[in-house]
Amino acid sequence: MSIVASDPFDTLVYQQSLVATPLEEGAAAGADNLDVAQRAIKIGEVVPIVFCKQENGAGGVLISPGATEARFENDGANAVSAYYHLVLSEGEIDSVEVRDVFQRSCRVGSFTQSYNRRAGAWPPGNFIADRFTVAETTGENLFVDSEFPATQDIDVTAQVYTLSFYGTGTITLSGASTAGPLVGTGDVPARVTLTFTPTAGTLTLTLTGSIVQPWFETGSFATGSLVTRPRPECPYYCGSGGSYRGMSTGSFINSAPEGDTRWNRQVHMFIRGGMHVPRLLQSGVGPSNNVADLMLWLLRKTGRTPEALIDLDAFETAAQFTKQNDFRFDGVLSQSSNLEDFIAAHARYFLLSKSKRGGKVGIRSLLPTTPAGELLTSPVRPVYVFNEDSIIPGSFQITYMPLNERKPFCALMLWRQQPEDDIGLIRTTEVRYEGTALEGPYEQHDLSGFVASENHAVKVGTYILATRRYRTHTLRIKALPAAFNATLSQGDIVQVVMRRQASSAAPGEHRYLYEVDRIGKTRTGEVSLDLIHFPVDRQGRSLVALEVEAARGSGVLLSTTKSGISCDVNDSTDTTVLPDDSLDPGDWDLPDDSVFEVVLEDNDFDNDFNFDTDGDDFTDGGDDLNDFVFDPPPTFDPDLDLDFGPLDQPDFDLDDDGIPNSDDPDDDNDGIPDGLDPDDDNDGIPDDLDPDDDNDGIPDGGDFNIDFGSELATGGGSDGGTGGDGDSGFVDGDGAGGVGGGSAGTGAGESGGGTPNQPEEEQPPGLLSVFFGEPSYSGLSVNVQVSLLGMPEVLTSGDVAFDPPWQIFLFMSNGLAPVFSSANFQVGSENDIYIIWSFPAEDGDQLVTIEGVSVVNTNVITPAEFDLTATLEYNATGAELIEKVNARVLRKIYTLQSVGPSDSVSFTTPSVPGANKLNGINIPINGRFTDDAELYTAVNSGTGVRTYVAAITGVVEWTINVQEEEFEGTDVFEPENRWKYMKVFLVLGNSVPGFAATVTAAYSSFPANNAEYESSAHLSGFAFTVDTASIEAFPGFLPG
Amino acid sequence: MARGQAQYLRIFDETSTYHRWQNYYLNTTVTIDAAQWSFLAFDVDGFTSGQTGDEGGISVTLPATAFVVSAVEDAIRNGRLCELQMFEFNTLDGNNAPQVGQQLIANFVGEVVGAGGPFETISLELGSSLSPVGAQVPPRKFTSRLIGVPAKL
Repeated sequence: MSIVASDPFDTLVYQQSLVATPLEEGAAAGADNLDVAQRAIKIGEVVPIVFCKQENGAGGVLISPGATEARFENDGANAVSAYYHLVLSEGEIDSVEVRDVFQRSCRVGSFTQSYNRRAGAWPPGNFIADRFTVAETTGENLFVDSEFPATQDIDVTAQVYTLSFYGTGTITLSGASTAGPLVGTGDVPARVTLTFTPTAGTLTLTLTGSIVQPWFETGSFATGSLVTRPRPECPYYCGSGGSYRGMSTGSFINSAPEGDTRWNRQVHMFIRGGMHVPRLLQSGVGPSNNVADLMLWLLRKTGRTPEALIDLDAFETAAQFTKQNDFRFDGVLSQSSNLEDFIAAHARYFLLSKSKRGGKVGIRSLLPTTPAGELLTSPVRPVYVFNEDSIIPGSFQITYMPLNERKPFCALMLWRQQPEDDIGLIRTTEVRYEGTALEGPYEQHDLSGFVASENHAVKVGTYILATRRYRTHTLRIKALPAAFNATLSQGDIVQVVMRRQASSAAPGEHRYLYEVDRIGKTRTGEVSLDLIHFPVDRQGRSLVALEVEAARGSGVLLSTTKSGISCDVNDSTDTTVLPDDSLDPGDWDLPDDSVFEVVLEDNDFDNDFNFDTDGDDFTDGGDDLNDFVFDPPPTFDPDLDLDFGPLDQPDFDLDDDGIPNSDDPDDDNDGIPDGLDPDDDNDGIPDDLDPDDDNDGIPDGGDFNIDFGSELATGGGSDGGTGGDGDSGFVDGDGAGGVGGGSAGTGAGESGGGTPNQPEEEQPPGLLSVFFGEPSYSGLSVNVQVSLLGMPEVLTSGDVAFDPPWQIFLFMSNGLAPVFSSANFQVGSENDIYIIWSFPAEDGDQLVTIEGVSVVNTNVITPAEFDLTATLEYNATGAELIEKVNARVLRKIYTLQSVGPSDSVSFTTPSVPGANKLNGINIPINGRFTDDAELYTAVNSGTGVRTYVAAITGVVEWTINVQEEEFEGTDVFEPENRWKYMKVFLVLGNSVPGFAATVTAAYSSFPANNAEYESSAHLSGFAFTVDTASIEAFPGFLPG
Repeated sequence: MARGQAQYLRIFDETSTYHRWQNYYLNTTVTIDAAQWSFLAFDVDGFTSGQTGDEGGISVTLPATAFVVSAVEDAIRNGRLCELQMFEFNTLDGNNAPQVGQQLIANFVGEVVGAGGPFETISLELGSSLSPVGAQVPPRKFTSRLIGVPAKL
């Protein structure tokens, strides 16, 4: 056994420099032409990522964003105004200042910026109209500015004048003449004229309405004729607009006079702060130029790498390294590529390399560093010395660098000189060893797309040259396991000392330092090591690190060569940021998201499988004849339902009587109790046709509201509401009785008869449902507090009947499980004892009937220390064995393996000093249910992890926190991902009849945009006392 | 020193651990830090850690019992992670239970990126599902939902 898989040895030689020779060389990636036509974005292009941060006047990047929408219009003088809607970057970027917006190479136009929505308020389209002028005229037009006519005074003498214009307006004369008025007769080209002789003086021409090309000239007739101006050829397909979720957008507007087509030129922007990302070395989110931040963000955003497989420590170390050495990334990712390729292509130019440590992906420095991330230029000491005693004979394999890799060459480094207030220029810096490769060969490395520092480029060039000059070989050995086995890791410096003893030659010694590149370990013990020569000077200092550390650029900045009269209209020092004038996304008439997606139904039969309770492999209801417990149609009736929402429904309290519908026995106040009312909400739709009987905004199929009345709180009979709605959903259709006291529910459902409450000798379990509603997409934290008072001290009572004990289920309407959700026991006395155990559903827990819990040692427990032994006894009703049961006692988890029917296991807690209450303990919560049927399946058959809480004493209260923004992999801005309501189900144990529980629930931590609900009356008054003796049976939990 | 090596395999996700197995203590469930590890005769081909990150994953071969097959299917379907640990210890100091002073000499965490094998055994390929082929960055493309019908300029 124990074959170590590895790459072919030959690759190691080429890895040793880790900055490969470019296979293809071309023009600098960072060089863009400025005076080109505005680019349009095409569907399927990648959303560019602008990643940069200007620091101390250095950095930043010029971008040339594509347009998704455009608008074109021309005025009377036929000047074209062009509007471009631009997508600047993925994510949110810093605001762009006036001085940083260019069209061609000129600071012109007006620019506004937005995020997560469309920028600007203009509708796209081609609004170019025909414009006219008067041509072939022989007279002088005394009317000032006929292109943009306005009321004006004209000095006249006593002679004949003619006034003319096109259009439908009116020109009224006053002052030197009161002839007229001249009234237009129609749109262009209908021309009207007025010939008159004023007195000498000032003639006032007052214009109203549409006046086109007014002419006022001497003589008795109008001269010239109207001609149509050349129509500007502007694009006709101007875009429709979209959601622009999660991206930075911009609206650019500029005008060009007639005949000037510069309106179609490319817009450029200088970005000083790029996409906001979580930063490794800084708190919070913001722009960054640390390539480690970028790579970590990309790794996470690919969605293919679980967080547990990301080596965050390595990323932090790499971030420190690049920061210390001033290696910055200021560039744009606009070309689609593979993540591995991207990292391989870019990391090397930051003297980093992708690494894998223990399966975790990270990046690490190519050179030894100090803990602070600086290059290690002090003497290096090997952490271990391998010699003849530790190296397995015959495993020593050395490979020298091939000749073609060792010939001198000149590294031609391309980088971008980025002035703070101007467009950058591409620079080259030649790096070579003195006296070598004066005429080449050249090896070009293009960093111009993302490096704006000469020193950065020079250090990379130095590294490339130095490694090829000094690193002479690589080595592979196999070693016996020894002390190094537990401590040696990749990147460590080791020494190999081997003595060559030949009978016919003088003895020699192989004594070199190496950097550990790869470690392979097998069960047989031998350790395979791939080592890279680590050249050092006489003092033991890394030669490569020394030269890289010392490398500096010339520091000479070249002129941008910009000359001529400036075409800037805006000031090059104007740091103004124009206000965001974007409209609310709802103001745009956009198609619903459903237009753009097809959501396939998940036909995974997992849930069906879970119905296979007897293990006969018949999974569906009709086939599974032995499934006498879960045969559909299931009955699933919460015994107590606290209905909190949804709060955005205006008719939450339909009759405005101050009693929320959920509490109101007569929602529409028509005098007919809801249970008997054929139209509960009086909306004119009979309940059997009404998809939402109580008009609470929750479709009946998902409505667990049983319409119980206030009498429930006093233990009286319920209104029979569970049967009353008569919906098709399984909740109401079967009509189990309410949770009221001993009397039967009174309401019979339209389609399903209400089952009266029947006190039973053996008390069945109860089900509590707390139902929250809050449409939100960010920042909402729901805090549920359920207090159960007066629970019996079952632990001190000996055996605990158990069918079932406690269960907690969480139902999220959007079907998404929160990353963080927990139930915390917050209150408990020091002497309380809790036993919690759970087992995964996939272990076949539905085959198990847990018969009881016996507490062997029930001695009074001191707060300081205790020792508890408990025994779980249970039977499996099926043929399969229980593979695993986790039992948790006071934060200790015990795994019980392969227990057969009727077996018993016991466990003893260790002595635990200190408090023994369960404050802070997390209980797994089941989630990911998108409809009631799934929830039913989960509750009945146990999807996920069932958690049982038995043996509770004293007062128990727990809190469930759900932070929606922590929903994994969820774009919370997607409407379908916003959750409307949450339900928490607590299955009450029936272990001891007659106890009373007080259940309260409340919201807390509202997001700012929902603050109005915080004091809502809807949130109060939900305290109930329930006598478990009267709780209706929940058939799904009764033993088969 | 009589060197012994025990390997431990854990299948887990962000919220739960589903299986803990070890392959050294025959038919015994051992406890380490309150976690119990049951015996399963699995085999690991070796651990590799590399600076350049180009090494493949790790292969684990397990007996193809119904339980193991089910566990593997669940792991693949649900994107669960596997953690492999190799401990080294001196067997002269005891061979019946994990020693307090045993040393962790190798550790590997990976996704179950593939599985297969003959009828009797099933081999898991542990690694990263980060594909070396295919476009992944930048992660988002312009879609009709995002930009509607783009302009043609």
